[in-house]
Formats: sequence, structure tokens, C-alpha cells
Amino acid sequence: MLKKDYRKPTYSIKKFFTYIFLLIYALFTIYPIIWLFLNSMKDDFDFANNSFGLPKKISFINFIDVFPKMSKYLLNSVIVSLSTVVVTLIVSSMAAYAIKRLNFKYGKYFLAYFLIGIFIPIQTVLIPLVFMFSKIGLNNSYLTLIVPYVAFALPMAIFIFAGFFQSIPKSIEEAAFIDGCSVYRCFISIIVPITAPAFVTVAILTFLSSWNEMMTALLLISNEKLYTVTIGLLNYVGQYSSQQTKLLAATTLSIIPALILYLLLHDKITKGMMSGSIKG
Amino acid sequence: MKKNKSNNKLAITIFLAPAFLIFTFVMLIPIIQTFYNSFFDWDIISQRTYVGFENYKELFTNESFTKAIKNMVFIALTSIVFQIIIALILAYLIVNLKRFKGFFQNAFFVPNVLSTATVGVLFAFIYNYNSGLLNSLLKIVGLGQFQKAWLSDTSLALPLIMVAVCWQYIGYYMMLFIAAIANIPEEIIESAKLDGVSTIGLLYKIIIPMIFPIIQVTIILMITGSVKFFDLIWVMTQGGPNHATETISTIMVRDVFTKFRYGYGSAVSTVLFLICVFLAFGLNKFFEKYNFEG
Repeated sequence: MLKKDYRKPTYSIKKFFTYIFLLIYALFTIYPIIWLFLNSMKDDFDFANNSFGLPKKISFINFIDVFPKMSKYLLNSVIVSLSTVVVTLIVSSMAAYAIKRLNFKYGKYFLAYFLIGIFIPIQTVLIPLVFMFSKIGLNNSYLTLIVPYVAFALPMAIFIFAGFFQSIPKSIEEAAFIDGCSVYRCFISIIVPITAPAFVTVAILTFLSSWNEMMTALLLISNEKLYTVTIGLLNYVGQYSSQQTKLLAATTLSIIPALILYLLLHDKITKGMMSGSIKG
Repeated sequence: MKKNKSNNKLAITIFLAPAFLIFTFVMLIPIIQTFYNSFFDWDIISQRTYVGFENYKELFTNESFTKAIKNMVFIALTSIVFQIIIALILAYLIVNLKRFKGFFQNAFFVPNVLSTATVGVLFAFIYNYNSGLLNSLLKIVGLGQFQKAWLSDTSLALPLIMVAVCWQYIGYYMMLFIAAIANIPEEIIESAKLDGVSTIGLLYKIIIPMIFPIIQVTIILMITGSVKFFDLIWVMTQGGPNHATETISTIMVRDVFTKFRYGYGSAVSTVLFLICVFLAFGLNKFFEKYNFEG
């Protein structure tokens, strides 16, 4: 009895400090984002004198000013990232299907070939790509980014699909083949539906990596009309060095889509991002 | 039966060809070209001339390259030490929570979904001299005399960039650790608790050894990540002040982007590639051996 009474308070003190510590860390991760939002609603004078406090008067003028350009960059990012996701899903699931499920003798060598890509830093391929793309007229179009982004995403995507496809029992397809189903129909109407989680994972991973990509866009895109959010923002840093709250508003706008997506799909996003790191 | 086989071959080709062609033309062939180009002196105006190992000689004797290698090691070590320790503590605390588990997980993970470019701009603002968050905080708590232009300080620039890295990625590693800890069989932890193992002992003697495979993965991720480290630095300091935040990638991008020295840039990226490959295989071997002995 005595022991129990003695124990209880220490536990709750421990709990109390745990929560305090976690709250402080949560403040550290979230406050910078709140600070950014609040300050993007101030004018430059208010920001210079009172960057810590609430805005004296809430105004959306900064957002209105940066919106025409930022919306263009955002749209470019959406086009590039979504196209990359769609092409990557199709191409990598097909390749993994051939490697794992068509009784292909050399499948494992092809898998190893694609997996080399995981070790290749993109820095190593960019300079030749600049010249290759301008030679074949692929420079300064959406494809200039979509093609390399698909290539960068392929190794991981094929790896994830190969893992999923391997775990499906052979009997499922054999039954379909006996019923006279072609390889192509079997892939589309049997394999794809039962490996839907793999498609979600690969889609999330590919979307985030191409949405956030900067170096390729920096080196391959020179036409401002095709800027994605990342290099558009980088461009703003130089342009608006004297109008800081405009830059803050542009940064806020670049964050909002990702935050909305995270609020809607946080479980899927964390799961997808985590499976990307565990390569085996 | 025979017809079936040739059908199968056709199907394999159709299914495999798109990925194979894209991967080969965009990844494999360019690597060979980069390797080849690194032996030439070549810019936007003059002709390509073969220079042998001159580019490499220039690179290895260049002060900024030595600095970049030092920074790479610094980035890798600080990532491993700070991110793993803090992520482990957070994971351990959160696993044992009864309430607000989801809130804390999400709060810590949120910075991960932002792009590195955005995080760079945000932290450049936080460290800004005139109205940055850090300086206004110092002023409010009465330490105004310590205000400074943080990123212009050669000894502080890189550590401060690492704070931004920690801010963004600790939540990610924390989630990996939480998932790993959840996989430890309940009985092991319960019986250790009954044996009177303290909280710290539990973490040190049971949880860390049990999730060590995941810790290995994170170490490999952090080391290879530090070799390629670029986005954040390019947004915040572009390798400055006075090469204090130089990395291999910033050297490459600057030489290609502003000086149009393609041969030299190729040599830099070849070195980067070799370091990556060497580390990837070296680390795998190292951990294999370690596990074998342990």
C-alpha cells in the first residue's frame, strides 16, 4: 500500500516532464511555420519593427502581389510532378512485372541493373543531360524535367513494385491464364488492383521527390515560364531582397499545398515516405 | 506451347523496354559521358581539348575542395549524433504516451513535407540580421548584444544550417524508430521491466540493440545524404562565406553555372560519384562485419 502511494506521484511527475519536453519540441518544429504565416501578412515596416508579434493590421496585399507569378510556378510544379507520377507508375510497374512474374530468366540481372540507380547521385548525370537535351530539342519544355524525374524515380519504384509482386501467389494468374486471359489483361485487371497499396506508396514518394527537386530544375530550365516552385522561390530571393514580406508571402504560398496534402493524407504520406528509406 | 513462349518474350520486351530505355539514356550513358568529359578542358566558347588528369589535379589541390570534404564529414557526423539521439529520445517518449500521441507525431513530422528550398528560405529569414526570428528573440529576452548576421559568420554558418537540417528531418527518423520499437515483442520489454531494469537501461540495453538494423539504415542514409548535400546550402549561403559551407555539389554547380567549365564540373561530379559508390559498399561491408562479430 505504502509502495503504491510512493510510486504514483513519481510517475505523474515523469509524465509531466515528458509532456513539457514534447511540447517544447513541438513549439520548435511548428513555431517557425506560424511565424512565417503571421509575418507574411505584415507590411515591410511592421515586419522590421515587430517581427515577433502579431500583425498590427492583417493584410493580404503581399499574397495578392506575388500570386500571379507564384500560381504559375505552382501550376508548373503540379504539371511536372503529376506527369512524373503517372509515367513512373506505368513504366516501373510494367518493368517490375516483367522482372518478377513472366518467368523471365534474366529478370534478376535487370533488377540489379535498375538498382544501380539508387547509388547514382543525380549530380553525376546532369551535365551530359544539359547537352543531350538541347541537341534533341528537349530543352525548356515540361519534358525537360519530367524525363529525368522519371529516371531518378525508377530504381526505387521498381524495387518497391518488385517486392510487392513477388508476394502474390502464382496461382492467381495461372487461373486467369487458363481462362484465356492475356498477359496484358491479367496485369491490368488482376495484378494492378491487388497491389494498389504499392501504387499509392510509389505515387507519394515520386510526387514529393519531384515536387521538392531543385538541382535539376536549376541546371536544365532557363525559361522563367517553366520555373517550378523551388527555383521560382530561389529566383524571388534575389528579386525581393528589399521587399521581405513579399518573399515571406511567396514562401507561405509554396508551403500551403504541401500542408493541405499532409492534413488530408498524413497517414499515407508518413507510411509512403518511410517505406522509401528501407531499401533492404 | 512454342507460340506461348515467343508471346511471353514479346510481352517481356514490351513491359521492360520503356523503363530500360529511360534509365539507360538518362542515367547510365550520362555517367559514362561525365567520366569521359572529365578529361577535357571545355567551356562555352573554346574547343574541347584533352587535358588528361589536369582537372582532377586542380580539384585536389584546390582549397575549396579540401573545405568541402571537411564540411562533408562535419555534416555526416553532426547528422548522425544529433539526429539519431534526439529522434531516439522523442520516439521512446512518444511510444510510451497514452494521450496526444498522434498530435506529437504529426507536429514533429510536418517539416518533412516542406521542400528543402522552402526550409532554406524560412531559415535564412530566421537567421536574418534585421528582423530575423533569432535576433528578435534575443532582444526580447534581453540578450540584444548577441545579435548578429548569423549566416555571415564563418564558424557558425554550417552549424546553423545543420539546425535547419535537424529541424526538417528529425521527425522522419523518429517515425522510423517508432515503427521499429513497435515491432519489439511486448514480452521482452515487460520482462525487463519486471526485472527492475531502469528506463535508461531499457533504452540502452534492449531497445537500441533490438532496433539496430534501422539505426544502420539511418546512418547509411545520413552519410550518403551528406555527400550529396546541396539544396539547403544553395538557398541559404551558396557555399559562402569564404567557403565555410562549401560542399562538393556547390563547387560543381558554381563552376558549371557561372563559369561554364564543363570539364572541371564533370571531374567534380565523377569524384562525387566515386565517393558515393565507395561509401555505399564500404558501409554495407562494415555493418555486415559488425553484425557478424556481434
